[in-house]
Amino acid sequence: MRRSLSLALLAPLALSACGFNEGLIIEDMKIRILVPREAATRVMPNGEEVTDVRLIGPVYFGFYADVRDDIFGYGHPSIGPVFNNQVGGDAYPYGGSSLGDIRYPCLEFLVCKVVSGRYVDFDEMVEWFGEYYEDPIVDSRDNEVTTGEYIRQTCFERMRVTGDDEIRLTVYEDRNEDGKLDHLDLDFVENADGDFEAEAMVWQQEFVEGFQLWGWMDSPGQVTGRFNTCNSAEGFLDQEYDNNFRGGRPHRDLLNFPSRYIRNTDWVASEGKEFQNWDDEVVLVLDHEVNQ
Amino acid sequence: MRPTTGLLAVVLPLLAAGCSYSGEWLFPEPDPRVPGVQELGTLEPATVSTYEEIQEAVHYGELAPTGTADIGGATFTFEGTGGAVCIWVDPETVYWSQSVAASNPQPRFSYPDNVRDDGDIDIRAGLSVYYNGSPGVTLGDFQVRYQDELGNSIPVEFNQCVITSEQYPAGGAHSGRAAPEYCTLNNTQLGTSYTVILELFSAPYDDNRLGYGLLLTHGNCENLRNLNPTETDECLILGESIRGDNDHDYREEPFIAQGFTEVEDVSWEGSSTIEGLFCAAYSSAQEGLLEYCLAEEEEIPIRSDCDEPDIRCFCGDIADTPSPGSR
Repeated sequence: MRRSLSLALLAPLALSACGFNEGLIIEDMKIRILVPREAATRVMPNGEEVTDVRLIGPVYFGFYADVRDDIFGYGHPSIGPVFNNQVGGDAYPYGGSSLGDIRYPCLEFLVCKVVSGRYVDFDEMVEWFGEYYEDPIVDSRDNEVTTGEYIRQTCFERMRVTGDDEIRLTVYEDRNEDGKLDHLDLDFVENADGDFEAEAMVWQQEFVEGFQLWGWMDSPGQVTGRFNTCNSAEGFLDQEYDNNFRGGRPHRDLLNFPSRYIRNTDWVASEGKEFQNWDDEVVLVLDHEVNQ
Repeated sequence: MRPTTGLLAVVLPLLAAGCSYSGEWLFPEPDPRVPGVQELGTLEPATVSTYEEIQEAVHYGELAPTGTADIGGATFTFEGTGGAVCIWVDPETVYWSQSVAASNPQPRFSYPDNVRDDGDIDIRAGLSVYYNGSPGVTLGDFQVRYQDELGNSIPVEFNQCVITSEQYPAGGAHSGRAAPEYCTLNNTQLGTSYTVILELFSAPYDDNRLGYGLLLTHGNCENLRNLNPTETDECLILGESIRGDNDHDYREEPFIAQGFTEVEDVSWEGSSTIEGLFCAAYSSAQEGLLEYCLAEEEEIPIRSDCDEPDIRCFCGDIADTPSPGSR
């Protein structure tokens, strides 16, 4: 009887703890990103001017206390004290993420040149580098890769996977639910104005009233298509057969020290978008091309 | 007496006693002649242009635990020169990972290291005005609070000793056990006081006293590396394995020796040899290190003798290691 009584007293107490409110606002925050058409337009090494979603590199975005344009000559988060010439000012982000991931691309040639969410299939990679960059993809023995299926099968073998949804470099889910896997399922989709729009999530972000969303896009290199936010010395280690290379991964301090990585032809948001509530509908506009 | 009352009668005094529990028995005894927090005074950066000059510019000392949960170590100051200043510290002795690969093992590292004679020192340095420790009493750091535009407070460490690695590209890395650690303070402000912290990250298990060699020189640390003929950082400073049974009192004099010539008298016999063999093995495929360890095993076959106060083994116990290919 005594034990039953104790349980009867303890159980409601324990249950009430489940409803305890810590007072923290931590939410999955949804944002929209707009990349102007000019940012996805370029005269390619083959001389042809193209507007293509493959020219939209990884977009890095974060929440910052403030954004100003008088530090580096373009919109950039405020930075903390610069007390040492070896360490630039830290922007101290409250959090952030990226849209378009630099991942292991299965061939050394493609390291730091491929971002997820930009290619419908692997054939588009072959076309992109062979035709537009006039720099055909080659395998580890310098043989030209002429089909996307070769890259796909290489991925399957190296990564011990069996589906595109495990490689996650090309389209693998029908995001717009039209029954097809095509360019409308990429991260960025052309809108009615000819610009490119995307939706992104920042998972489990602690909300701070007044913080501002800011970000930038790392444009692919003019000659090789390489992304300078990628660190080719890190990432998946491929040492199979005659391979010996790292798959590349983003540098670790991109949101803390954006100015270290922003280069000419990258596109930044000239101003931050302030949040008053965690569920504000905010569009991050990358409206300024860096040209210094 | 009811059982519950009896239980309370036992538990309550125990709980009350717990309030004054210090847990000091968990920590090694402090050494009265080696204070847990030492103040080494103000040092003058040395000008060195040869390997021999480097050897004679080394300050040698020892660190020991505080005996409590407080972090131990040492601090010293120097005046900014208007240029670069290098801080370089090498804790005793050498450490290597035993090669236990089933295929293609490294014979020169196939014998284990004696992990009981090594320790670790971490360096931090910055403007003395930001230092919040009490020299000779407690170690501190260079942390200040930065308030961002939204009024949120962010702790910022004004440590100018920036050591980077793959994992810490913006700084914050440290060398590991027994490995030399160094950093350059570029463009020091002329005449301004800088404080350097040598934090005792770990002391050797065998005697709880960590010998070290310390260099403070004009110019970039890369200059010192370029002057090092062994091409291995471990051998820039030799002889830092100081015998713990010396009678030096660090409360009166912060260093036991100045320069390699002096320290040889108080170092463990053979310590410079093992450093040299390690460096040779590290930079080439030479197997002198393995041969040394085999000879040491022959000389001291009962490895538990290594714990005797007057015996120093630099190699570990081959019988107490994983079998080849172990994971």
